Amino acid sequence: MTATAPTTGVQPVLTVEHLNVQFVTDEGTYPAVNDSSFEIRPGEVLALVGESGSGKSVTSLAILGLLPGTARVTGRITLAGESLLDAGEARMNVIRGASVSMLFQEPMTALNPTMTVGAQVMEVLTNHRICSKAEAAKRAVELLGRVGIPDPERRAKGYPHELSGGQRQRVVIAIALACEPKLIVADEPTTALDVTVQAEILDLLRKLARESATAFLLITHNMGVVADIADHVAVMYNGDIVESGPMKQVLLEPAADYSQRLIAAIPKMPAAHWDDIVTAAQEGTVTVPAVPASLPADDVRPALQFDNASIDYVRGGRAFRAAHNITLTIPEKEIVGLVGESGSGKSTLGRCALGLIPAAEGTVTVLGHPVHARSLLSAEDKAVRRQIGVIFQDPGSSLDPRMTIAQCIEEPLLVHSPEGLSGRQARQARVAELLDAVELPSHYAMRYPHELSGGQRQRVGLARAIVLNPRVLIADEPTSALDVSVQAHVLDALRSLQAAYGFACLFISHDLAVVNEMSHRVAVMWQGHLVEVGETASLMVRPQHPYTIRLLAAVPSPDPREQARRREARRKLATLDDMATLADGAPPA
Amino acid sequence: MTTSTPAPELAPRLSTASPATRAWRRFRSNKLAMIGTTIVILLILFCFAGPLVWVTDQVTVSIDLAIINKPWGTPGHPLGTNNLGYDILGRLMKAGQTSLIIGLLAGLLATLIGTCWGAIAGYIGGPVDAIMMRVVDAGIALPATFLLLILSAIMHPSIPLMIVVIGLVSWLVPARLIRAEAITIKTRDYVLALRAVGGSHTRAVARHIIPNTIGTMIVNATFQVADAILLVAYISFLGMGVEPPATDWGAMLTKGIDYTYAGYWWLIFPPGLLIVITVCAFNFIGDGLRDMFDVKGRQS
Repeated sequence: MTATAPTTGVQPVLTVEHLNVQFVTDEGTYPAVNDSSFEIRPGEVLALVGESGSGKSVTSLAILGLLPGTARVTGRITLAGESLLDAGEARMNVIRGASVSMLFQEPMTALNPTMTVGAQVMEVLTNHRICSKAEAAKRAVELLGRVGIPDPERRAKGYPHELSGGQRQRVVIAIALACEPKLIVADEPTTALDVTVQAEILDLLRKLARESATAFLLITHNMGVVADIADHVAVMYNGDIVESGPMKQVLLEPAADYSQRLIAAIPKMPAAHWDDIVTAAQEGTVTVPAVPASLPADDVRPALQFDNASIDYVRGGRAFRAAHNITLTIPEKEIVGLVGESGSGKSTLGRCALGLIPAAEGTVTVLGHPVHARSLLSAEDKAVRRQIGVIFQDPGSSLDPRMTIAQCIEEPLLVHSPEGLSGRQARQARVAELLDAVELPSHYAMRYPHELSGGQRQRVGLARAIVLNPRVLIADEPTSALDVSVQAHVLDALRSLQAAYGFACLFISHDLAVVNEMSHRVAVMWQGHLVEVGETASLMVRPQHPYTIRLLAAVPSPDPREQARRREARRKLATLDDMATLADGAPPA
Repeated sequence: MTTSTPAPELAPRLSTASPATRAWRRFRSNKLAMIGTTIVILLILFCFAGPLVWVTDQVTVSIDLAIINKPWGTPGHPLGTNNLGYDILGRLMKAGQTSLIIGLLAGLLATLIGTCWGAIAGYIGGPVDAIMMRVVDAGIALPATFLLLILSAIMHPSIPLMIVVIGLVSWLVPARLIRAEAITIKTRDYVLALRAVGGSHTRAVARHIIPNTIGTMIVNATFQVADAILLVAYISFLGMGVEPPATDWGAMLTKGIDYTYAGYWWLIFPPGLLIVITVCAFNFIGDGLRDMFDVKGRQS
């Protein structure tokens, strides 16, 4: 399949023609990329999108000549007139860094912790003998300034651990830019970052692509990122490019069957009232709203309740307060979304509800009974815990690799031996019933977790969470490690189980779009404080707290039109001093 | 809330072979491990089934000068005889039984104690872990050979005693290894999920921590067996091993050493060679098992 390139007179920087990659293993040969062709022109951003295993990263590694020895590559890759597949290893070493450079996902591992930031930027310049050492030092500071590092002279003398995650990624970008490459391959450059930081990095990449002739090959699974900065999109599925074209066309009117389904699976967010929000902010009428302490209606029974709860972590004798005076109620049969960026304390709150961390002050109650985080549990504690189920983020570590699926699911039954479910046959029947409820075939009971895909494992996790028929479910980022289409399946399963069993759910996520689809109400956490709680429908279109506004404006929307509005709103809000101080400054009193 | 028809998840590339078959294939692909396994099987056959075929008297001391100190190649005694008239080939088999039994059982005992100690220390953590691991540090600081020599001097060394004593001095290293694993395993979500539903600590250790250290455990056990066989040999070589007429390869070496200058090499070379071969074989198996349990080596 050939990517349709725009008919401009400019020669493409990179041309990939009929690329095939196969991996040879001791169990046979399997194809990773089939007959892929595309090209990128100077100053363009081509997004290669697809889910894990689709071959997008393999394509990028083929371009850089970094595939492992077990790969067989055929086809043609031409960079500025030079065939990369015919270039030897020595020539490729010159090309990498000088003509093509790479941006990695995890900025912490991409930088050397024992070298100063400036030295790492200089290293690229001196390695490729572009300029003298003194000249390189000057250029390094310039580059750091260009990627938006404040006070670059001083920062150049600092080490990576002294920078924030976003600044580290800026340094990685500075290194990639150092030799003014013709092409930058960015493999999930913002996936490891929080949304507000991601938005800043995307703004930077967008600016760099606009003002230089560098072409970008962006590898990503996030359609919001694509909508923000890509000019062209190629959609990969199972090693094939199933569709390619201008970004707006592919995202708004996908033609291929797979692209349509992929885009349909992305959780949607309503269009926010940006005009009202920006106007209110400009007029200075944004105030920090009081967090409602009580329930919206008096007649609902609370299933899970945090009453003025504060949580401390003790490390090396010093306590660090991870959550401050949280008062939050999760009513019966309701899903409450808890959103926030990393380090906001949202997972801590979930673990406290599970009795894994004690509350330093205040109380946490489940159906009116207090949750204790004791090492040795009393019969009463066990009775409380029977009412709580949990599903964790990482499908790789949430199931014991040495237990069969049936053993994983029935473990809570063995812990509690509830009435009617204590016999072996009763347990087997319950496992079969739950496998059916999460739509997994019954013969999976005898399989081991590593034989299942991530989505299937997460459904097993769901089955285990509800095996005791709990009244409260704590879901801690249950779909963050999954591809979007798999995420849609797991969310569907969770929704239908919630409807069938009627448990209350604290749904913890960093993804506002997922929370928007799943929950009745949303609570927003920021630096250990609960800053806003509201009905999902109103909070997502008209947030009140400055931090929520900033968060919402930073979430990239897969709809290019909404994304343009958000970017505009973000630009306007950034100019307002009081918004910036509210969102960056000290936590609310 | 939307109603979407998402694309089917790419099915995991499930190999048709079962996990056990694949693990066996990985083990088999390590040639040294296969050689090691073959040698151990042959040695066990030699020591335990050998005496049924090659029947010799290893109890009665002979004073017949026509029988003692015969060189190798003597008809009826292919490896010769020693100063007490015992047939060397038959003696190698009998001594091998002692060495292998002590080695295997002591290795097993050390692994068992070490695994439980390490798993509990790592799981509980904090001051309990600190105290338990200081005990291990103190134990490692004591020279095991020295301890064994003293015990052999004050007690009559028998096979069960040797097993217990060697087991009790060599569990320290596995305890350290397993503790390190337990510390990482206890933070896995499946252990947290068990604690969250109110599962006991015993269950967490017995059902989750220990089974997940099995790779380290088995690999280490093979090295423990090799070490125990060597340790028995040291002790016996120093003359503090099992008492006659029982013997082991180390004891055969000691007896033979007196005659080295007389050129009776057939008294030393065969037992020495068997010790080296056995220890190497178990180490090879250990390497192969490490490949087998290596998660990173798991293709597809």
